[in-house]
Amino acid sequence: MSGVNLKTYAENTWCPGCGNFGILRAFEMAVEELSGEIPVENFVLSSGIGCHGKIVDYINLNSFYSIHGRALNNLQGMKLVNDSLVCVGFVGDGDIYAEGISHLVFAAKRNADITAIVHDNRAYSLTTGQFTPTSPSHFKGKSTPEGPPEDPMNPILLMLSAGATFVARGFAGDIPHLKELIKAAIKHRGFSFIDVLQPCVTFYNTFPYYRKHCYKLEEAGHDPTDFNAAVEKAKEWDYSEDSEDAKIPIGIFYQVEKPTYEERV
Amino acid sequence: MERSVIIGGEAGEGIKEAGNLLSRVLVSIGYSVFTYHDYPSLIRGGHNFSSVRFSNEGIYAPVRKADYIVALDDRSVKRHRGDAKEGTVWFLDEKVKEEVEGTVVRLPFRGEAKGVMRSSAVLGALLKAFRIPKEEGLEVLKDLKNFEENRKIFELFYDSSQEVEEIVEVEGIKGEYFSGSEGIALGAVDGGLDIYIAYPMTPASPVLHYLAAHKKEFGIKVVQPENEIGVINMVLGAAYAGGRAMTGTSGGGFALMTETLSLAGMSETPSVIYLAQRGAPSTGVPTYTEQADLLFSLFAGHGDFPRIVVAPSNALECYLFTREALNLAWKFQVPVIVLSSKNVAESFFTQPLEREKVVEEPKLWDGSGEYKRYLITDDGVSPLAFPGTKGAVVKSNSYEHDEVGITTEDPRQIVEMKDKRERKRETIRKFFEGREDTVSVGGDLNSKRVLVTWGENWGVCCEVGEELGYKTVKPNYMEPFPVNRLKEELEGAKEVIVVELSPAGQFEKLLNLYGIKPTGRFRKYDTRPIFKEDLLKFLSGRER
Repeated sequence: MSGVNLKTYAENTWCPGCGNFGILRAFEMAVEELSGEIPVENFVLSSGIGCHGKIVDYINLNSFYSIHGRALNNLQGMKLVNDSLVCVGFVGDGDIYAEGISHLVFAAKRNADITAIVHDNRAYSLTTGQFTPTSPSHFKGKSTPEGPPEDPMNPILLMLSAGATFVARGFAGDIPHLKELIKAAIKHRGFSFIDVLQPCVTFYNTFPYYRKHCYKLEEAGHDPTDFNAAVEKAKEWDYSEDSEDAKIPIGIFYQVEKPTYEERV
Repeated sequence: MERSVIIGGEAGEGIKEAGNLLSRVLVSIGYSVFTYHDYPSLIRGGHNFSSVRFSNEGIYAPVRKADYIVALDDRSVKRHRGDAKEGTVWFLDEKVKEEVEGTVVRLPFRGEAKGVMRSSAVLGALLKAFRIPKEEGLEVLKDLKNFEENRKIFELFYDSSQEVEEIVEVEGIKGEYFSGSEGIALGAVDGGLDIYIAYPMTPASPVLHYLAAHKKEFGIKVVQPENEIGVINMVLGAAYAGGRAMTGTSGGGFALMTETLSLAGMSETPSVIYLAQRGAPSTGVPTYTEQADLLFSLFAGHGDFPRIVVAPSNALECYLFTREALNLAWKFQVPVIVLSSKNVAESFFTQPLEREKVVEEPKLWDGSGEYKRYLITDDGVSPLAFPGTKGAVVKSNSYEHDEVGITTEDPRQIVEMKDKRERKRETIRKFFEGREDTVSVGGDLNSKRVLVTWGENWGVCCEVGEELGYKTVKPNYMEPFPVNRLKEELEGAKEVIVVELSPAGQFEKLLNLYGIKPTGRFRKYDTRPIFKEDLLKFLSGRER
């Protein structure tokens, strides 16, 4: 710790072994490592509602604990009036791919200079287990005992087409790798998006599967400045496939510099 | 001396512009002008009309009947034949086939002038009719983008039209000619606005347009996000970061914002929402007026939290109340709703506007000790700090929270925080208690017969009240409702007639809630404003 106290007195109420712990740890490490160049008082966090949202209670930084699906807009408002703030949104897959999908698409479209970290456990967990937009069609949730009658969306492809200038996928079970992604996302000027595969140990434990099938884009020679290559990599796994042949790329799919929303307003 | 002029034609041929040009000339030679713009929800065609009413005494309401009617098409003649008086002078486009009675001046408006430029043609014809010197018209035209072309058209019609009567210059300028929307925009700027965030919706959009057009001059930001939910959450984010933020919308957009209105209440984030009512429910009658969002604005949002609702009734009040709204939002860290309606928002008034910046500093953290966003205080208002402040961790929360802003489910802390917000409600109530200006009084001040109204009906009630001997009373704040001040003004009244634009009588319900029982009611809900003749007829027909 470089003199930064990031802990609060709030009792952590995530289930033991929850994937959210990996995101919390990776973020704390990222902030500690960035604290030399970013004053901690300039960090502002916002979160939606769901298990993920509790993260802002556990981090001793400025935060706006928002409502379901809206956190990214709170951050965009802040950034418009104070450009020195470093705005990080912690959002859930139900939160931002369902309730707040329009806000996510538009934050990417306008290249708002904020970071969105999606805790994508592919289940509504705080509401005790329903399917979300990234649940596979074989996910047997409480509201869809036979599985949802629809296929999952691919948020990586969605963000690429919406105009996000930093698109990545992380895995909560690989904290050092996720920490580097978060640092890169925060340092990127423009809209940064990380879909974090975050297993829910209670309602959808995907830890063993992800451990076996994830591989790193940077180790596979992927060029993140190549949009078409990014699209091909995004299509490699469709959030439904759970076969033994599946390959799930993690890392930075795409990164490009463009004028930000705040610069253009 | 009072006259009124109706100018009618299709959308897109400069009807509104003609009304405003004429009005500006009349204001510049000393008249008080009230201009009502009537337009349907379409872009080209249809029937638009503007009604310019002017007098050497102050006037603030529309009238039905016109002394002059300009009709650019047959439809305008048909629609306004009933608005003619004995002796009304008609200015008809030469192609109009409909017959009218009385004096008729035929001019080639459509043949000689294109689109919006017809406004300059109409202005030329009318100024000649009023024997107002050409120079007065040129003075107003010179602000237009293509002055030269407009000047040619104006002069052509001035030279070829006919004199009817002399409208002489009168002493003293009565004020600025401006709309409720412009009042809202300027009031926001002078209340310290940093950013205006809005999604387009009639009749609130003119504020968005005005601020966007002048944002550099005002030193503000103006943005249009994806929808009203996105809008209001950006407003809250901006305010959390220390920026004075405001939005504007109408009923449907406000409905979308209500979830976040409750967040503003819980997180105690200062925010200003301009709600311009239109014909409702649902999409309703978008370009016309109603006052049926009153109870919605007072009760919108889940849970208990204090709010303030101000209700301007003319352009000057729009300016003053909006400027105050920004300061109130920051003083008490609550959502403030500025509640208007189409006939306030889009009508033009002649009123003295003395602009002055009034930006009160809110209660700020003094930098000592640990910062607690929701510090328990006697008045319920906690000191503010903003992110970026060294030594402060600013934690806002939509969940019930402790003083620091960390989520809590502890019953004792929950009660403490709810009590704090209720104490704030009481602080706000006390702030307004005893303030004379929470209620406006007009008409015949000594009368025992009272018209009680709110918002856009104020002007018409005052004029009719004076003529027929009614006192007129209007609350300027709907929350906290100035019940004691209102009762003081109603004391001893033999007759209390409530005048409003809601079929269900929402304002009367509100009065009932506070123990005020009107003896009569005038409810109009054809979504048109109350024309002076409407109220005169209603009151004259009552048994005395």
